[in-house]
This record gives sequence, structure tokens and C-alpha cells, in this order.
Amino acid sequence: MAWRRFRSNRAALGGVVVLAVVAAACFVTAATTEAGAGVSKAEEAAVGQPHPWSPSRSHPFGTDTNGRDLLRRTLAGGAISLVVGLAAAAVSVVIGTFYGAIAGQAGGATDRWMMRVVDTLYGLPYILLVILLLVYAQQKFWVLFVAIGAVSWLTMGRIVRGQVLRLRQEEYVTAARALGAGPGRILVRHLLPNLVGPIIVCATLTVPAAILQESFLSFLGLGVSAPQASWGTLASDAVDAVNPVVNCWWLLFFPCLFLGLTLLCMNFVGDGLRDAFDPKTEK
Amino acid sequence: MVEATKKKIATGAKPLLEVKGLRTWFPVRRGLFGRTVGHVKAVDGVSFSIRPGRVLGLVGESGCGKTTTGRTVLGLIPATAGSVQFQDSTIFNIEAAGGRTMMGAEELRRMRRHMQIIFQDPYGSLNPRMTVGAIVGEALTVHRIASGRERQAIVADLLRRVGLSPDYINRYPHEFSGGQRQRIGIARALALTPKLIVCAEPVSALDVSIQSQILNLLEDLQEEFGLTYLFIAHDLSVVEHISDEVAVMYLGRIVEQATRDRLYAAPKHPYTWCLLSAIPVPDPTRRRTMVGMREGEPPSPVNPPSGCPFHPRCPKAFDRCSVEVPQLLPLGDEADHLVSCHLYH
Repeated sequence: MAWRRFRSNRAALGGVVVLAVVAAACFVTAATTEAGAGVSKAEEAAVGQPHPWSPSRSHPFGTDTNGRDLLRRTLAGGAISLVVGLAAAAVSVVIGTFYGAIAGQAGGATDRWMMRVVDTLYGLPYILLVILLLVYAQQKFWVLFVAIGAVSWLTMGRIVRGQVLRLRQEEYVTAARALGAGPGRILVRHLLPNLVGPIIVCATLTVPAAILQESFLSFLGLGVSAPQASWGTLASDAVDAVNPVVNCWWLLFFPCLFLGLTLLCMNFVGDGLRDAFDPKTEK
Repeated sequence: MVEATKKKIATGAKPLLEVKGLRTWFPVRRGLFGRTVGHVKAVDGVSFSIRPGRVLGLVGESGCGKTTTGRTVLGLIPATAGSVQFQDSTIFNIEAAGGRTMMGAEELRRMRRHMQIIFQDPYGSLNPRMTVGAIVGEALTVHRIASGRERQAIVADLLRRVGLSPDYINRYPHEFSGGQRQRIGIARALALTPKLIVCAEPVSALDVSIQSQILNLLEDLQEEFGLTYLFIAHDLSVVEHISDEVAVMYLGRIVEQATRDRLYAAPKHPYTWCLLSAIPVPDPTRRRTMVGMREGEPPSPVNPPSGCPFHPRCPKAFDRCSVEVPQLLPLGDEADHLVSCHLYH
């Protein structure tokens, strides 16, 4: 039913295809190239000009200031960005939804305490949290996921709790109680299906937020470290390299193009999913 | 024939539902620490009983607590005081002295098989994400009565009984009109073959032309299944046809209660006169004798007026009314006509 509605949405279907192609290219490149590899000495000698090179036939995206092919770096970096973004979205959907739904459904003192925990995590300086984690962690990459995961579900938790409080007042929930349905059944059968819209919208907004957060953490040396790259680090490196004297536009343009394209596709897919789960969109 | 069986059930039978001194107060909280500064006395000492197979109409204007009464009786809203007895089981009994007996959650859940509710708003009361089959059949799953094909068959039968095509089973609520949605709500309430149904203003949200259809359906079902209704409405004309007995509520209390025939033929409480005179008469040659209610909104249930709660709007109010609270007492020798007014006591 839902799948049939999703399939009839061209934008969403196109989004899935583009996302799949980008993701496949990213993961294949990430798996097959060495992170720091530059262009060969022979090629450098043949061109005979300093890096970065502007886009050409042999390097369609040009090269960066260290002489590495930007196409390969963009795709390999995309793998990290995508994993970070999707992991954050997954954490926020799973933890955020259940945390918020349980708080809203339980109500009273339980709700108050659960939401105070969220407020505390919100109020905690983010960097402090990351540094604390870093003290305990040996591997930096792992910290990146935990840090982004720890904050990404908070907004979702609040949104879901608010929606549950609203939906609990609906008459069909009272009707379910009058039938003898327990709180668990009401949550799963009546509340969650009506929460699909806000959850999907919130999850699609989490993906770009997490990708940007990753670049921020990497900038501080807490996330991806050079020579590895991500869309966020590529863009932030490019901002430093682009100045009025040397106009290396391709350094900024291509990573941002991929980032933008991915986010646009995710929005289409998100819209498509939201409509697919809503019986009212039936033509 | 049906009338005869109805009478047989009714005479001498024990009440199916007995409500005594029911109070539902909602706290009014103010300030930083949520201090309770008062109570909305939505239901303030309501007692009535309904015998099996009978219909009690509960009438009053918006905000008088009639819907809250219906929901409290079913245990959907916690009561502040009073008791509700259903058949031989006590749903709850909260004494003013502090003693309380409540039915356990699991027992209450099982009890729900026997008492159901039909809601006012046919739009809000159906989950937009569930199919008609899932809505009507949910109770069967919850109480493990039927599943799979068997459940489908029961649901199809229920839809037929409320005048809907069984083909609608896989459709969603938004595909239906208000009247059809109300029929789905009725089918849902019937799924458990309950003994008591609280009809919480089931026709108030519907067009007048649809209202009579739904009322006729409810009446047919009542006779067919021998149902007992607590029929809540804000309009005396709606309950006239279906009720055996009618209770009029004002500001959380019953002000007059009598058999249907007596109440419509010889109303006693000034508030009942006002409600009766507000029913439109479909006859242009007959002049309506409007009983003028005095100006003003119904008073706030947070600060009810002193004495009789109706006295500020009552056309017959006199000195005693603002001082002394009238009691709901039988009218002279008429034991089944109760009225709460100083004009008679």
C-alpha cells in the first residue's frame, strides 16, 4: 500500500536512484583508493605547473593544493559524510522517537524527569562533551559517532514528546482506551503511525546537521583526520584556499555540489515517504 | 413484541448501572509551582441508575458536565468522589471520608467488554491511519475474541448492521462522510456486544437530515440487542424519542429527572422550561411561548453562584434561591419525578 504510493511519486523515486548512485560511487571509491595518494610524478612533470590544477580531461574536478585528484577525494569523503549523516538520523529516529514517545505517554513525574535529562544534555557545552569522550576513547573516529549521536536525538525526542502529548488528547485514543487497549498498544498502533510525518521531516533535517557537525569536529581535530577527507573538511579546506588572488573555485564547488545534491535527494525521499505513509494522499 | 420484552426486562430488574454522588473535579493550577487554587467542579454530586434495556437521556447545555459524567462512569476520567456500580461489580467507590475501592486495571480492561462509548465528533474519534476494518475490529484483537478471517467476518457483519457496505473494510476514515463515520464509530462500540453504551452526543456534530438516520439506527440497535443507553445530548428534542427517562443537568448537577412522558408533559424546573421552549416548532401558525431565561452566560463551574446554581438566570428566582442550595427530591407523591427547586419544596 505504502510502497505503491511511494512508487507513484517521481521526485522521490528519482531521489532514491540518485542517492543510490552517489552512495555506490562513494563507497567503491573509498574502498579502492588510498586516502593520501597524489598524482604521479610523471604527470606532474608533463603538466609542469604547481597545484591546484583546474578541472581538465584527466582530472575532471581538478586537483587540490597538495596535488590529489579532487574527484577521488570528493567521492571517498562522501562515504564518511554519508555514514555520519545516516547514522545520526538512525540514532535520532530510534532513540529520539522511543524516548520522546515513552515520556509523553507516561506523563507526570516520569515525563518531567525524562525531559529534564534532555534539557541537561541540550544545555551541556557540546565541545566539553566531546573532549570528555575523547579522554576515554583511544580511537577518534568512534568519538565522532558517539558525539554526534548523543546530541542528534535530543530534538527528535522533544518533537515526538510534544506530538504524543497532543495526540493523546485525540478522541480516537480515548476510544482505544475505552475498548480496553493498553498503553503499549496505544503507543504502537495509534500514536506512532500518526507521528510518521514529523519523524521523517525531523530525520531529514538531522542528516545535513550531522554532516556539518562532523566537519566542525574534524576542524578541531576530533573527527576525520588528514589525509582522510569528508565533504565538510573538503569544503572548509577550500574556503581557506579560495581568495581573490587564486580563484580555485572547483575546490569549493564540487564538494558542495555533492553535499547539496544529496540533501536535495534526501528531502525528496523524505517527502515521498511522508506522503506514502499518509492514507489521505491516495488519488 | 419488542416493547413487551423490553418491559419484562425493565420491571423489577436490578439496575444495570448505578451511579451515586459522582463528583469529577479538575484542579486549577496557577503559578510557578502549580499550586492548586481551585477546582472546576465539572460534575458535582450526580446520582442516577439505569435498568437493563432502558435509555436514560442526560441533557444540558455546553459545559454542564454531561459528557464528563459519561466518561467518568466508564473510568476514562478519574473521579473525585462517588461510586459507580455496574451489574454486581464496583467500578469505583470513593468515599468522602477517604476510603476508596478501585477496580484493578486488568479487571477494568475486561469490564470494558460490557460498556462502550460512542463519541460526538465523528472526525476526531477515528484514527486516520487505520482502515475501517482495523478500527472496528481492534476490540476483537485486544480482547482476543477473534483474529484473521474470523475477525474479518465479524467486522463485515457489524458494518452491515450499521448500514454500511462490507466492501468498505479496507478504506480509510477520510473517505467517508460525517454520518458514515458515525456509523463506523457505532460499529466499533458494538463489536464487543456490550450491555451498556454511553452515547456522548452522538448526533450533535451531524447535519439535521443525518441526525434522524443515526437516531433511528441507534434505536433499532437498542431493540435488536437489548442495549442499555446513557444518552447524552444538549437538546431535549433529540432524546425525546429514544429515552425512557430524562435527566436535566445544570452546572454539574441534575436539576430534574422524570420519565420521558412526564418530563415533556409537565416539566417542573424553570431550567427545563427554558430548554423545552428552545426547541424549534415546525409549525408557523403556532406561536411559541418562549420562557425567557434571564440574560447572561452560564456561570463558571469554578465559582458556582451561592444557593441554587441557576438563580442568576432563573425567571422565577426569589430570595431563598440565592441563599439555600435546593436538594433533588421527589415531587410530592410522584416518587419518580425528582426536581431540585425551591418552588416545590
